[in-house]
Amino acid sequence: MTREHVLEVVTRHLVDTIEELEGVEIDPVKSMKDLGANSLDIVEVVSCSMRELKVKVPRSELNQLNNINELVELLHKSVQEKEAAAD
Amino acid sequence: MTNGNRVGIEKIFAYPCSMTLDMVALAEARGVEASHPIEDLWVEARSLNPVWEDPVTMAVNAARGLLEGEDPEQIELVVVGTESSVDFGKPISSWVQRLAGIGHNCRNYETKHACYGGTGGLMSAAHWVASGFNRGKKALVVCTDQSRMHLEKPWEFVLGAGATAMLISDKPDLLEFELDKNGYWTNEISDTYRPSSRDEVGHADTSLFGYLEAVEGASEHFMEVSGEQDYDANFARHVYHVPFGAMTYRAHRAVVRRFVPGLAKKQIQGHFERKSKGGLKYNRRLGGTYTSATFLALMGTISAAAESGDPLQAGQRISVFSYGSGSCSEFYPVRVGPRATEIIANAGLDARLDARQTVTVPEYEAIERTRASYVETPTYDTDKHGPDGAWAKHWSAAYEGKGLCVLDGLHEWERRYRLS
Repeated sequence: MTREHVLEVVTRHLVDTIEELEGVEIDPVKSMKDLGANSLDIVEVVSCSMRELKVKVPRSELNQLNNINELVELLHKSVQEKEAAAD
Repeated sequence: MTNGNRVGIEKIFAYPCSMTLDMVALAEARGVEASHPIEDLWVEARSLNPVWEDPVTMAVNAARGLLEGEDPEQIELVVVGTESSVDFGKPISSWVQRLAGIGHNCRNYETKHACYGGTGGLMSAAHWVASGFNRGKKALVVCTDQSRMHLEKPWEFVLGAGATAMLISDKPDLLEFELDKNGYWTNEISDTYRPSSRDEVGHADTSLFGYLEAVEGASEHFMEVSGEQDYDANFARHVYHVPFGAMTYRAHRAVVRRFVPGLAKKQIQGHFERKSKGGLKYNRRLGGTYTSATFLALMGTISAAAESGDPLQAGQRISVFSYGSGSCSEFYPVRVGPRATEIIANAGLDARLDARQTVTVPEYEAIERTRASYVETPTYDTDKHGPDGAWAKHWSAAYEGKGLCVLDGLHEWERRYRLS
């Protein structure tokens, strides 16, 4: 799975969670908070993304993220590790 | 039911405490926007106990309210679900048996699993009734909890107190179970816990993730074992565990995204408002009630439907999701019984909520500090006078001669309860 696909999953759940973002181009350099997400929104976006990607990331690692790109990197890394283990 | 035995909740009663704190007043005192409790969390007020009440007195007062007009000798099982117990060995259920006038030929015990503890106890009681080995007798299940002291903490807006009591029997006048359809989900996490007599530790994000994972895990298990796929058509209403009201919208959204694929994104909010939000009418006013939260939401659901002029009808179904940190959750259907609307109206919870005495923020802080000073103290008398006599008026107006269970204090650790 490519990094672009992971980014697409995260941005789709972000737009699904925060209606105001529909039609807005999501800049992954920004944090979800910058885009108007509250803590409940962020939990929902991450939870939905992990479920769709079928990965689980430890909360301690999630707590250290600064922006959307870092979340995508972390999820992508987990996906790759899972794919490598399955090979 | 596969074994043909009917079982459910015959009657319910809630004890919402005798005091209340307004969340807008608390927000002002804390320098927080009023929109935080009201719009972000959906909490308008919390229930509060005076220092002479505790999880035992609330449980007894809920049980006594429930058993008014009932024959207590018909009860042979007393279960109290709580995460706020007052003793590591002696269960609250033992005081409930004596002070609610239940006979000696009964079992009693306490069940613990954070906010799920009451549901766990309820399900074991329901299975006892369904087994047929109950010889026609009934179970009393009580949920009772109160928050610890968290003055000036950011999560101060989701605290509360309260108790609910339910009569479980083969006469499900209020709500009937379909025990063979219950779905459940266990996942060991450390999200919130009470590691000492004073502390109540919470990791908000871990708990919210745990809750969302659980609502999907338990609902998926329900769909699998029940064989029911149409979540929308099969249920007239939906109840989700209420740490604070706004969380239930997230839970609903998680479930309908998976199990109501035909529902467009933009329709989810309206769907929630139609089928779930009205049920929060009591939770909004009591604040966090832990084990009681889903049962208050069930009461609210039935009450709100009646108020809207379109009461729930016998046979209609409600889905219930209970979650307890730690964690365990259960997703189960209940069928509305023939007397549901009448039973909820008779419980008179709206009037009981209105009757609570409103306290100011400084009064609330003084009560919490005094209560905290009693913890781990082997001998004391509960203060019925208060600073400058402030509590004496409440004692004489709301307690004296009213027959409510109160705590007079501890004598070398022995707790002294009586009816006022």
